[in-house]
Amino acid sequence: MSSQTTQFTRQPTDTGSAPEALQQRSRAQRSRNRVRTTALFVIFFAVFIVVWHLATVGFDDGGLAPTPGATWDRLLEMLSDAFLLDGPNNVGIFYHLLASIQRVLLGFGLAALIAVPLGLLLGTSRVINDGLDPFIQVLRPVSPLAWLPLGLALLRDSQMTAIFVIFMAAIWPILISTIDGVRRVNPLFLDLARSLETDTKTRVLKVLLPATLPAIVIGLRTALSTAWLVIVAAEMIVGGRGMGHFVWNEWNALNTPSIVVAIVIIGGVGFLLDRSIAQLQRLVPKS
Amino acid sequence: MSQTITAPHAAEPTAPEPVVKIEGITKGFPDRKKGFQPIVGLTDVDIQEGEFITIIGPSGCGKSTILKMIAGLESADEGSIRLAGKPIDAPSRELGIVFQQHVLLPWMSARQNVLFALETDPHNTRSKSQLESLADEYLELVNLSHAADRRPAQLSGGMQQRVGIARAFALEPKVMLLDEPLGALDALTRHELQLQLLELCEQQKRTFIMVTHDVDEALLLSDRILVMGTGPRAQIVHDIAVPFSRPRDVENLEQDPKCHELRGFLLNSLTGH
Repeated sequence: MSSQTTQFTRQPTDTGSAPEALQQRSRAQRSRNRVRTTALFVIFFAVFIVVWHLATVGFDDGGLAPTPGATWDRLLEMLSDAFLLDGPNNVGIFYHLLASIQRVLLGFGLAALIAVPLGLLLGTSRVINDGLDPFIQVLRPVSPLAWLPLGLALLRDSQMTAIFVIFMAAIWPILISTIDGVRRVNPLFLDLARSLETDTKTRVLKVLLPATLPAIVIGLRTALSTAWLVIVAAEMIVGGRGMGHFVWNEWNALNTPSIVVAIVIIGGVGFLLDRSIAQLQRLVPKS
Repeated sequence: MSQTITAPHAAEPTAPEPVVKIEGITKGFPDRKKGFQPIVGLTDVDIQEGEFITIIGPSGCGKSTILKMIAGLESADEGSIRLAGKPIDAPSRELGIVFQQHVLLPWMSARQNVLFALETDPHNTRSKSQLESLADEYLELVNLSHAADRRPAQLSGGMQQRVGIARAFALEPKVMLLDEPLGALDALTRHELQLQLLELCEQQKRTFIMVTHDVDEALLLSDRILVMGTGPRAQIVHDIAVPFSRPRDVENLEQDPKCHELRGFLLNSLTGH
């Protein structure tokens, strides 16, 4: 600011130490809260294990109910055999996980490559959008699994079919979020771009895309978590390697503790995938 | 003689050709409930090179719409607007716009925002480093050198608007269009920026067209004030020459009885008495 506003000067105060004390107090408050949260988590976890144990022990079902003890043993076993590769029927959990992640990332990546440019186009052009919107509205609510038999019939390849199903699961959230994002771009940004006589390429890449990026990242995040939900079900059907196939296989072997371990792993990996894309969200400046 | 192309004012060589010539424009908007709503009635204005013109009027009279039409962002329903003889049918870099709210791209720093306006020039022949120093020059002009690397979100409202002003000046446009440039600012910042704008426009000889609803702002800055009536079909009801010599000084202006008289007249015509 220029010198004209400096006529109001603040009186010096001798409370220079006050902010320091306040900071200390808030820091102490934060660490107290963290201790409480951790303690609560430990208590809940213990209660959960006890209830689980009581609910499964002595349950007369021929040993189908997974007890905490059996599950723990199975977990250790699976972790020690994680990298096992001994014939098609004896594959470590790591390779199942890897196969699932690969399919998800491939299908998701393809969906993003198509949905982002398409969304930018549909968001800008009212005419094209109005023509395509009925297709989007009807196809979007269809469970991606409904596409699976069609994929098998046309692609004749289980791996490709799984990726295709993930693609169908991931494309809608990205497409819809991108279209919505384009519509919400400050119209004055576009006026500015026009008044600078920018060409279409500059307008799309330097103004529209960066301004839509926050919405695109939200779409990507939704799409990735949807894809991770769908992959387990898809793999139960297409077989091969993968977490879904593993779960179904263990059910066929009546090995329920493995299923519990697999559920925890699927949840943990899903959480990590979501976290990593949330990091992307932080990098994008809000408009 | 039957000519298809005639230079405007060819018959009267004594009158200088206006930079902006507005002839008989009208504008309305379709309204779903009420049908077609006429906003701007027949309007004619000639704006001479180097003039600072202010369009003032009650809210809703379409003064911002007129500015948008001059900017080429909206088209008039009837009539024509010419910039140096050529009709304005699309936005152009010869018209530098300062918007009411700051329109800075939030993912760019202040310097990058000014630089973006320079780099997008299709006829640019300068090197990147030349453009950079030019951007810095214009930020210096609005006393923002110290904040050049900050993002818009890290700037105060007044600073954001100054970046917008620097960007418009950086285009070196024929005409500067100011759409209530200080309207969204608090009173103190507003006053400070009015003085800065006064200094800038006296220093950088350009043609300015400003829209405002602030009578004092109009009197301080303009050579001519166009008062618009109330809508619908609002028209220019007064065209007032502001008689104060330049460079102007707020204090002298405040003591000038002519200024009081004009101020009273403007306020009266705005409130419709």
